Amino acid sequence: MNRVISVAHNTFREAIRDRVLYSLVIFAVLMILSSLIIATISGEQYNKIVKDLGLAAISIIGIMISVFLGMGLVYKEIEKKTVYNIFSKPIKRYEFILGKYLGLAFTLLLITVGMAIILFLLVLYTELRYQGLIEFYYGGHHFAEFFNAIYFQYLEFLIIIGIALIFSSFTSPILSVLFTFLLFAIGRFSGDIRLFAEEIKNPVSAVFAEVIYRVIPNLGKFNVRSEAVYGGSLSGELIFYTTAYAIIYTLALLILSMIIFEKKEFK
Amino acid sequence: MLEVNNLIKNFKTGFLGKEVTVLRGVSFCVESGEIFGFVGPNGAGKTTTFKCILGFALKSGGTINLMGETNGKVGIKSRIGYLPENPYFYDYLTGEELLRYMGELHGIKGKALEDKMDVLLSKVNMSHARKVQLRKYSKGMLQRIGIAQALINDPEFIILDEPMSGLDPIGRREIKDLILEEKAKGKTILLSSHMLSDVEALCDRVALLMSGRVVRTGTIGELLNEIHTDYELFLEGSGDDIQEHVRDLSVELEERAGYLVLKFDEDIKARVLEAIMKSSAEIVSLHPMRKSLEGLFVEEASKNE
Ligand SMILES: Nc1ncnc2c1ncn2[C@@H]1O[C@H](COP(=O)(O)OP(=O)(O)O)[C@@H](O)[C@H]1O
Ligand SMILES: [Mg+2]
Repeated sequence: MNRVISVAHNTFREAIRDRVLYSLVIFAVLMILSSLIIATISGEQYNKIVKDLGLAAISIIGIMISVFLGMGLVYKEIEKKTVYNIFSKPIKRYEFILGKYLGLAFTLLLITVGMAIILFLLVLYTELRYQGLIEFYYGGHHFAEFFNAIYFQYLEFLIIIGIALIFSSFTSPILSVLFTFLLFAIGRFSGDIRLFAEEIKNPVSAVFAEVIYRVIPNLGKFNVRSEAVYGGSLSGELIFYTTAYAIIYTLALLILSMIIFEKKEFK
Repeated sequence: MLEVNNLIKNFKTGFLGKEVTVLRGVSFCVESGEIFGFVGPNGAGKTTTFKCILGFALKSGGTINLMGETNGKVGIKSRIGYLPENPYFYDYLTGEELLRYMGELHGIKGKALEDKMDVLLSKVNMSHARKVQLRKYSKGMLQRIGIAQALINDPEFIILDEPMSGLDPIGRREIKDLILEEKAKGKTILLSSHMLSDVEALCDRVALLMSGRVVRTGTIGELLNEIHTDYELFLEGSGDDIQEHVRDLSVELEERAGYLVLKFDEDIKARVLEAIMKSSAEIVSLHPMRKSLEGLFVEEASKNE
């Protein structure tokens, strides 16, 4: 386990010393702040826009970080031949994969928490200024739902890192990004794809859609941003099942990466 | 310590996966406590052999017995130190961060690790750059930190791929001393080089690798014995006259800097001198060509063309 932590630590260190990460984080903060400006010009929609845009910004930036840093997780180590150093030491290949995953997952945890704090302060500021108005329009502040939306968002990042990690262990960054975004897009709309297939009533496409629905993670499950704005029921049961769903999927993705990497030649 | 037997490695290349054979039955063994040189021109397959030994590349045939293990268990690596060829490291790490990371992977930690790092950094003369990021290191500095990380676990068996490359003469001297110091501590060292001058002064035994085959193995002395010593004789005088006298002997003649130069093997030395005495030419100098593996190297290389 110590070796896993060492690898995770180094992955984290690499991420926070990476300029790509800084530009993305700065971009995220700018997006969150700009929601305030957009909000001031749109009257009573004020609060909705700060929350909505802010959560969307966290989502977009988090996904970009997951994909862009995820794609290099293993690929870079092979390409730059650092694997020769790592694996001349007594570390098992699966320990390395786990460490790489945890390192990026931890990086994203810090970034998500950071962005969430900034956004929450902003939301607090706007909501307290227009407290009566907000309560009238939205039936309350829905702070719990807000944090729940952030939490689910992080679960989605965990799955995306897992997908990027798989591609990273056998293909080039460009293909990795392409495939990861493709899977992400299908995953976000997998519910719709299934509905669409039911509409057209073609048995072949119905089976195809069913397979996609079953195999590709249904990322729509993690979007509860509208509940964070308008309120809505987020039961403990839903939170539990969504968490379990994310964990099981992530584990499956990790195991797949480990299997691919186990047989990999470094030549 | 290490026994490689008939090692074969094929690579699939290109789009169609055409197979190329890089190692065609490499055999050699490294005895405990010796410095073993693995020598051959670029592209001979030295690095590929090391990758098979360490399990980075899967062998296509043959056997490798590394400290009693034949299928490369991970645990054995705690007794090995390895310096990859042209080491590239995480360029965002500083020298000491790299060493710490590598040490942690060996399960070394705390004060033991910090102490070991101090010792190694000063041993490879890198203490001044310990807090500098590796992206700012020169090739020679990377080589030094690479050797330091290979020694972090005090390994019994040290595998160094081209340890002298990228170093200036002083650096090479230092690395040689360091290798000899490890040997004196009872460690076994396997090093590769395309430079014969490196191994000649350092190795107990060498294997000569050419196009994926070991063509010679032995001590430096044994290999040198196989080489005929050439002599060069510088003469002053009439060329025609001399040619006449040495016609029946296998002597190469050439003109250099106004002198006539005769080149010949040791075994006909006496007869050549006798012939010269009879001629009208004056001997300016006679000297043996420096004994070296270089000749053997070139000879084998041309055989393999
Ligand atoms: N991954 C690879 N795929 C195809 N050919 C390779 C690969 N790695 C090395 N080779 C070829 O194998 C030969 C030996 O390479 P190498 O072991 O690096 O030689 P050396 O270390 O002795 O200079 C070279 O001709 C090289 O082109
Ligand atoms: Mg090489």
